[in-house]
Amino acid sequence: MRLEMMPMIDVTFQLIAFFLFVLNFSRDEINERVRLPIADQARPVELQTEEPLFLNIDRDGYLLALGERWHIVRDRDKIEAFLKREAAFTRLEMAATARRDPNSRAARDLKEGRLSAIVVLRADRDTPYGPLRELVTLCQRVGYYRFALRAKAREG
Amino acid sequence: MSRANSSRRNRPESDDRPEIAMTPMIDVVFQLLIFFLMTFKPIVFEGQFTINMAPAGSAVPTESLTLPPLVVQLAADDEGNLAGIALGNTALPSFDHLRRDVAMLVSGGLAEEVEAEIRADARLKYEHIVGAVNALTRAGVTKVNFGPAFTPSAGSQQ
Repeated sequence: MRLEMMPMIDVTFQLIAFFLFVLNFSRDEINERVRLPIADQARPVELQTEEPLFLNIDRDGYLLALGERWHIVRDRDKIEAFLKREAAFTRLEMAATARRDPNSRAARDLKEGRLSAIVVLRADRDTPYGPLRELVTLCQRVGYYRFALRAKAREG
Repeated sequence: MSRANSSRRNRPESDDRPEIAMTPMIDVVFQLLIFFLMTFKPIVFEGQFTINMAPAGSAVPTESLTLPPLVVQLAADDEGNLAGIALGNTALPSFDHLRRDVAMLVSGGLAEEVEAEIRADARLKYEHIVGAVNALTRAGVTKVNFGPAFTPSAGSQQ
């Protein structure tokens, strides 16, 4: 008895193609340890001109960045240095956008010394408000003023 | 060469096909399939609330505001769970009541102009902050600011 291999290989290749298509390579910025809160009014994420700054905060109020876990109060110096580095990259992006379009938000913000990139706060549902607010203040000091609070639209 | 050609001509047609070693390929394909099956995580679509939070004392980046902010105060118990909601000085039993009261206050096209400030207990869990933002968004208020965190025992603000 001869096994018909071709249909099986066809199906297998289709399965592999499916998994390759749904593979999301941009999940590096999304920390799986963070369990987002649920909010039915959360809007779909829109594409931004400037690369957003992702900040993952765990349930104990620690910032998860560059593979490390920083206490928002005790490691303030490290966090500030990290934010300043990110701000420098954002300014370069803004300058490029401003050259292309002098009427853009990036051009206006650059003149006023602000950063137009969005800070995406991915905080755990159990994160205390105190450290979170402290982190927002640090971001504001560097020049960020646009924030996005991430949430899940439904349980899943 | 002529000998090879003559021997090929003499063979039946089915033998002319080159032999492809299928087994190693199928092995690899199945290993790939198993890898993808094991590492597959369905994409959870995330939503977000986009809010402008200019630092205190700086120029407001959007149009000038003439209305005082709506102050939403959120209290917490020792575990960080929600222990009370207040809009100004009025205590409210739930976020649904917050949404209803804010919607009444901003009716008549004021929702676009009004800014809300959330002042919460430093221990309060983030899910309740998002709950308040969710209620405000449902009421039409999209300008939300994070106010100072307070600790009731010390009575001080951070």
